[in-house]
Amino acid sequence: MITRIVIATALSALSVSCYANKVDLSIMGGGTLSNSSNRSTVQINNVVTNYYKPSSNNTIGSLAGIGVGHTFENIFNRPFNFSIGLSAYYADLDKVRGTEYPFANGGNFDTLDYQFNVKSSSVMLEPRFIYSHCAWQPYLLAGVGIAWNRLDNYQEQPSNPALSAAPAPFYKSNTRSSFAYEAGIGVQHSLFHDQKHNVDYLASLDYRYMNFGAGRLVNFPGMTSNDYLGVPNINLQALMLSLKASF
Amino acid sequence: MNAIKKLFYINTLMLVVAASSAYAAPVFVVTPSILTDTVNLNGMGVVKYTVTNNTSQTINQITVNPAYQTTGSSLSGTSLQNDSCSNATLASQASCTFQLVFSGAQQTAAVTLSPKICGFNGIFCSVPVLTLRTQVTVVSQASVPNAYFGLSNLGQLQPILTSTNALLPSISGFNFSGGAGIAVSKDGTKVYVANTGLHNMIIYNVTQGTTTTVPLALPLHAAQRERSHTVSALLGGIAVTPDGSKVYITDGSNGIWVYNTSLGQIVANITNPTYLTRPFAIAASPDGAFIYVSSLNIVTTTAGKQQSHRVPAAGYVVAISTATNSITNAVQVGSSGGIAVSPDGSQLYVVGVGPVGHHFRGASSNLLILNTSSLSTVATVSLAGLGATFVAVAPNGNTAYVTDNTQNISVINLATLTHTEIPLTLTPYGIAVTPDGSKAFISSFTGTNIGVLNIGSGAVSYVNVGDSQSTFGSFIG
Repeated sequence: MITRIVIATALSALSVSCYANKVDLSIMGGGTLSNSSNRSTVQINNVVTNYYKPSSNNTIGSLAGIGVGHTFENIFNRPFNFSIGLSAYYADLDKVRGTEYPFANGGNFDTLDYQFNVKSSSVMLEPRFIYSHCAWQPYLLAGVGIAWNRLDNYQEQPSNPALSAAPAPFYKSNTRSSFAYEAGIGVQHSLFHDQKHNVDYLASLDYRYMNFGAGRLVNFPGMTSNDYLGVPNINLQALMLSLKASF
Repeated sequence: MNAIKKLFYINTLMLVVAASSAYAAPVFVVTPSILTDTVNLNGMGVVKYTVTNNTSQTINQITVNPAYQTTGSSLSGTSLQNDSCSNATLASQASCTFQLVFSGAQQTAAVTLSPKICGFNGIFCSVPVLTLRTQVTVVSQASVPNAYFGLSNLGQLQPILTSTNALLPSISGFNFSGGAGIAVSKDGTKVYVANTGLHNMIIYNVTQGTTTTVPLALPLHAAQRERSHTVSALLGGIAVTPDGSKVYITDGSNGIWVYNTSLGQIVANITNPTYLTRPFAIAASPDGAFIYVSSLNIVTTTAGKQQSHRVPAAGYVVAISTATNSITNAVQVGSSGGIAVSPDGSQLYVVGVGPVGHHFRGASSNLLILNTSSLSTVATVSLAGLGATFVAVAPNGNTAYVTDNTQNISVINLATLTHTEIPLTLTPYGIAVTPDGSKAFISSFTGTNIGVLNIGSGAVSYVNVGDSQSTFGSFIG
């Protein structure tokens, strides 16, 4: 309800301006590259501290979204368009992986390999500046919003099955909200114009950096400290293809 | 300051982690007593584990998951006993132990034991390293039998794994105040127990772990004598035919109950006032066609305490046809105790403890060797000990083993009829030989130990079962 009010207010405020304007509907999708890593030391209780060493490999994921916006054309009588929109994204950042060193403060013990999924759903308020003088129209974008970061399906297994380490009870899945922001650059191109309905169809390709803030897993039974295993900085780089209907 | 400490702490951990790539060790060192074991589908196995805290810290709230496996199928029928690890607190380098008991039933042919030990209520765990994971081979036949002992005061049936002499979980609900005749079916799946104190027979299903009680009505004359404390209701001799179809139980008076295992009920009570005056021990012929019954001039009153009977037994050894449940032959030999049949069925071995009416405890002993076809005497072997009680024959038929009341086992060469005595530190009672002929298990109603005779070496070891046992019969299977 609040979202609807915000959208309606923003669009109505802009629509009363003197510029020619259009309403945009978009669908977006693309691939992501992320390198989110977890906190490394977790105090389990007042005796035991585990060390979680994340692997440094980048992970490939996916990102999808929908958006609604409003475009103001030729602002200040210049070949620039300005659009403001509200977009919702779902990002699957694949898995965070690493090596767990149990009781790292008690000695050098056999390790386990751990992994868990990182997913993020977000809503962004996105302004764009578009240079509209040519057929391929470059643009800059930015965005701020809120992300709901879910860390789930924590698993661990012995790094070497022939050794002594065995899985302990697992961390549990959790969703946590956090401030999110993004910035990017791209180019858009008109595909065709539906004269009957007066709708422009555009495609765009952009690169963007998105930061969804932090996420954390829920502690398992037996863990008595307030420490936790989490990802303090969930971020990704995305190459995004969008299809937009503008009318 | 806290930030500096935390930074130092993290750096230390990182150094530890960097070093651990070259060397790693278990948090708990888990070491089994044996690396390989064999168990039959109807049997159970026991492996003892030692767990050592390999950290520099004290670890508490230890838990043990006996059925945990990193690979393979889950292990069913597992339990813990003699467990000093669960909920224990272990200082650095201190150890605890537990025994993992597992059933052969429902297992695949090969099972890997890999119990999981966790500390601090499960926040980290260890299993044995690969080279210390016990490999269990599950065989489909009863090649790894159990021995069963009736614990007199505890009223429990105590199985023992004959391969390792390990105690398996005991079964409650018995009353052995009148002795504990036990017979195990040839396939090892059923244990028939003369529950003498309650005048019934209990069938223990080894595979299912369940018991079934079969009431045995007291003959009127026996009940009258029991009230006068001159005789117990059951002396408890019990035998099962090799095909497992019938079970024979002496009623302690002058009768023998016949239990049909298919019907699940008593189908006959064989009596004879002349020949079956004090039926005691029973043995079945290898082909199952006959059972042979001795008659002992003692009674058992309470808690295994024996006394001479006021009305002496007539002292017959009797042959009974299992087809007709009728007496086919009888011979008067005097008071006799244990009885056994040679593996080929041709000879009968009877422990003789004196003439009719003789008190058995101080009596001179001999082993009567009878021809089963006629019950005629083939030979009599005079034994060194007094008050002989029971006899068992090796599976190859070459040797007989006789227990006596003077803490000996007489080992009798059945070819030469010579004998030697092996001294014991307990007073033996029942004796049974494992099917592979490697061991003889010996019960004793005077202490809490049982004896285990290594037949190859002649050495005797002892296992404390926690109670006395007046067990006899074919109690291995």
